[in-house]
Amino acid sequence: MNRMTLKLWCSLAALSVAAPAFADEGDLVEKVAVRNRLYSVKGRWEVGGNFGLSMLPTMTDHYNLNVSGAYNVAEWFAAELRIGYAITRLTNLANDEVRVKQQTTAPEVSDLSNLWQMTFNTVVGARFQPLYGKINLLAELPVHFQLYLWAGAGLGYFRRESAVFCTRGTPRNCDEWHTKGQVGPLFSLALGFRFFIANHHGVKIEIRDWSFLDSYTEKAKRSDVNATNPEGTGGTLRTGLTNVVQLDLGYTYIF
Amino acid sequence: MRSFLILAALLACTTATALPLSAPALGRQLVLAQSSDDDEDDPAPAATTPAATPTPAPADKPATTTPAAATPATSTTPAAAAPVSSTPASEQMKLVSGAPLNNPNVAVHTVEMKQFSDSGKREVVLYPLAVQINGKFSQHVGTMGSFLWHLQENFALMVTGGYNWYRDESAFSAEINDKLRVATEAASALLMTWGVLGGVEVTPFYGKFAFFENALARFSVVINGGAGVGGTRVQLKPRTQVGDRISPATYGDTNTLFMAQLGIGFRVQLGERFTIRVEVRDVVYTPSVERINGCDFDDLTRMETRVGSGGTADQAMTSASCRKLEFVGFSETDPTYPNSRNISLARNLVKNPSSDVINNVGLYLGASFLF
Repeated sequence: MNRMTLKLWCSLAALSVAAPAFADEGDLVEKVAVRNRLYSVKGRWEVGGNFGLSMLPTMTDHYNLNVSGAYNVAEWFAAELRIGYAITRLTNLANDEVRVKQQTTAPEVSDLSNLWQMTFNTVVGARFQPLYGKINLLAELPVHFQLYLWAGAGLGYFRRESAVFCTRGTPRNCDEWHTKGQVGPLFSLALGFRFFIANHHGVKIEIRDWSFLDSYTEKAKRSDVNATNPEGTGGTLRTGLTNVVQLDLGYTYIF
Repeated sequence: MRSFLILAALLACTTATALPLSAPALGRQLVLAQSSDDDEDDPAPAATTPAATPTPAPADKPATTTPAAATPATSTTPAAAAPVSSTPASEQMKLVSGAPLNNPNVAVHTVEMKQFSDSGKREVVLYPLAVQINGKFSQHVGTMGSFLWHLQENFALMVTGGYNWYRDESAFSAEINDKLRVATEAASALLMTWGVLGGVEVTPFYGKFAFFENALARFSVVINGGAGVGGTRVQLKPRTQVGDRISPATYGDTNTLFMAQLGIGFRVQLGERFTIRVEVRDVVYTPSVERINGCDFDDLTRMETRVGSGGTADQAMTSASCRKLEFVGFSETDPTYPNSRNISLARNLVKNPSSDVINNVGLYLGASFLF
C-alpha cells in the first residue's frame, strides 16, 4: 500500500467519522423533516452516465467515461455495475520533462512506477448510502441528497508505455518507446453525493479511486537494451499498486 | 493550476445543483412522491384535490396556522381539504411546534429552522491533521488552527494559520531524481513550513441529514478565503544511503511569501457549542528562489571560494542578510555531513532563479468550540 492509497483511505475514513456525530434528536418537527424521505429509492432500478477527471496526475492522465446500472436493494444499499473506457495519455510532465531531461549514464537502468494506463474498465460494486439529507440553498430551495460510500472490483485492460526503455533511438531522443498491455484486476472506491433533482433524476459528484496492479523493471543492463530485448537483461520486476484518483460527475435516471 | 480548477469546479457543482430547481418545478415533483407524512413544502395542487377544495395554507407561512384554522367545521380549513387522508382530522389539526405538521396539505419549512445560531459568536477551530492531497513534488502534513468571529449568521471574519511538522519531497520527486537524475526545479518543490492568513468565511448552505432512519445531524457548508504570509524552505541534499545508514536530507530557508487561500468544507454541529469540520483548502503561493538562508548567488560564490581555499564560510565577505553560520560545522541530523557542502548545492539552485505557482491543496480535519 503506497502513500497515495494511505492518503485516500485516511480521507475517506475521516469523512466517515463525521457521520456518527449526531446531535440529540430534536423535537418532532426535526424528526419528520428528514426522516420521511421525499425521494425513496428502495426497490428501484437506475441507469446513469459518468465522467471522471484525474485529480492528481503525475505521469499519466485519465479521462474516464462510464455508463452504470444499479438496483437499490434498500434505501441504504444498492448494487451497481459500471462499464467504461478511459482516454489516457502520458502527461506533459512525463513527455517534456522526465523523458527528455533524464541523465542516462548509469550502466543499470530502472523504469519508473505508476506508468500503467487504464483503458477499458468494468466493475461491480456495492453502494452504501445510509445518509439521507436535505440542504437549504440560499435559505429557500431545499435540495435532497444521499451521501454514499462505494466499493467494488472488476477487470480492466491496461497498457504501459515506458519512460526509460526505448526500442528505437535513445531515451532522450526516442522514436519508439517500449509498450505492453494486459488484462488485470481492478478495484474501485468512492465517496460521493447524489443530489435529487426530481423523482426520477439525480446528479452525482464523487471522489473515486481506481486501483490496479503496477509492475516495472529495475536495474536492467543498459547495454543489453535493444529492439528484441526491450527491457534489457538482469533486471528485477518490481510490483506495486497504482491509484488513479478522479473527480467523477454523473447523472442517474431512477425508474 | 489543475487543483485550483478542480476546487473551483467543486464549488461550481455545489452551487449548480440549485439552478434547475425553480420553486414551481419542485412543487410539481413533490406532489408525485409525497406521502401523507412528508414534511415538504408545497400545497396539494388541484390535480390531486377536488376542484371545490379550498386552497390550503401558503407554503411559506406555516406560522399563520391560527386557532381559527384548527376549527374542523370551517370549510376553508386545511382539514377539509384532506378527506382521504388516513390521519384523523383531530390529529391533522394538532399543532406541533406551532404548525399542523400531520396535515398533508399544509407546507412546513422545517429545514429553515436552525437549532443553534452562530450570529455574534466566536469560534476556535483546531485542525490536528492537515494533509496535502495533491503533492506532486512535495508532501506536507501539519497542524492548523482558526479563529472566527461570526458577525452575522452566515458571515464570519477568520484568522487561520499553522505549522507543517512534516514537509519533504514527494515519492515521485525522489524516484525521478534517484533513477533518472531529473531534478525538480527549486521553486516547484518549495516546502511550506508555516503560514498565517486572514480572511472571511461564509456559510451559504445549511441542512441536516438522517443516518439510516434514526439519528439526525445538522451541518453547514463553509466556504472560506483569505490572504497572508508563510515561511518556506527548499531541499538542498536529498536523502541518501551511505553504506548501511541513511543520510537525511538537508534544507535551506527561502523567502517569506505572500499566500492566498480558498477552501470549502462541511461543519457538522454537535450540540450548541461543538462542531466537527472537514475541509479542503487550497493555499496558493508563487515562489521565486533567489536567496537561500538569506544568501544570494554572489554570497554563495564568495563562500564557496573561501571554503575551497581552506577557510570557512563565515570568513567570507557577504551581504548583511546572509546567514553564513548555516554553512559552518556539521549537520544536526547527520554529524558526518559538513554543512559547507550545502554551499555549492544552494549556489546551483539560485544560479538560475526559478519561479512557479504552487497549489498546496490539503484535507483539513478538525473540531471547533463556539462561545
